Amino acid sequence: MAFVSDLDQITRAAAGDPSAVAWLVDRYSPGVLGLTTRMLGDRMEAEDVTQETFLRAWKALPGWEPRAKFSTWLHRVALNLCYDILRKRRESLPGELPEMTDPELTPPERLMQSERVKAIETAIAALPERQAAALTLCALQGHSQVEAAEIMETSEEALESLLARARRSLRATLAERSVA
Amino acid sequence: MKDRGNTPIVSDERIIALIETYGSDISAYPEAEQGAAARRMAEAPGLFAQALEEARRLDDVLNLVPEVDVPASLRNSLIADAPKAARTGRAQTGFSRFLPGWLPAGAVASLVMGLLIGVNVSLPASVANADTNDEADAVMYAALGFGNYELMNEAAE
Repeated sequence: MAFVSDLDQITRAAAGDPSAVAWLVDRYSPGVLGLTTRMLGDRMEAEDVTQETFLRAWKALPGWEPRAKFSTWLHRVALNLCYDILRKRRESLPGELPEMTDPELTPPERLMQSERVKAIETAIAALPERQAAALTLCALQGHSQVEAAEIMETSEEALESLLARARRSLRATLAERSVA
Repeated sequence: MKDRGNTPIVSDERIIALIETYGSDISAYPEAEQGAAARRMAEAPGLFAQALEEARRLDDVLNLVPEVDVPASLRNSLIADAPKAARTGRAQTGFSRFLPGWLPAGAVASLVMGLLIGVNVSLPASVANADTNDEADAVMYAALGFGNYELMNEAAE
């Protein structure tokens, strides 16, 4: 298979080539939707944010700087839109914490796989937002430390600290619920 | 820090930190530290066994989280949004980038005005060559696309 670079596809998509547009969507929308879903814990909102992210991408394509990495830029836009939504949620519901306990899930022997997954997703979405972002990017999506730090506009050291705290907190939460 | 063979050295504390941060999979560690961490873990496995076991349990749980599928409706919307946005923002190339965006509409307006002025300016010559005012009027109306000046006059009377 011939190597196709992001820049080739971006140039063609900017000129209105439908196959290049589809290529970019197929390559990057799963990651963006995955990130927004984990961050927001709400599928509908996550899809809205994904759509807004790509709208911004389409507008940015004609003036695209070849030095910039499309994937990093796209995830950063999505992440910042998530932060905005989470901030508005906090402002509209001051003091209210995300729902973390579900009595139906407590007996470990009755935990079905789907319930475990739901418990993990809930626990990730309940992490402080930057910890959730670090964990999602590195542990769930396989971004390198460098990429994840660039997406989050932070240093690799700070990313590492967020990641360590996220894993510690997640382990404690899941242990309480007998998920891990 | 590096040893005499110029290989990076990673302390045991740092390896524990790497395990707690990135999990049990060494390939997830920062590239520069992977080799040294793997060697040290092979040399003294007992030192890291507990940390690795705890990390592995969490890794197993995280591996249960499925990838998110993009529904066809969303995919179609993302694609449908693109061409319009891309075309409206398409970069201009060559000389056209220096021309203002209103130029095509301006050119059409100029053409229409030029035709109207041309018709009006040419009318006195037609009138001068005509024997009567009626003939001049007939020429003018014919130029403007009306078929039969006499019929129009009769209808008006």
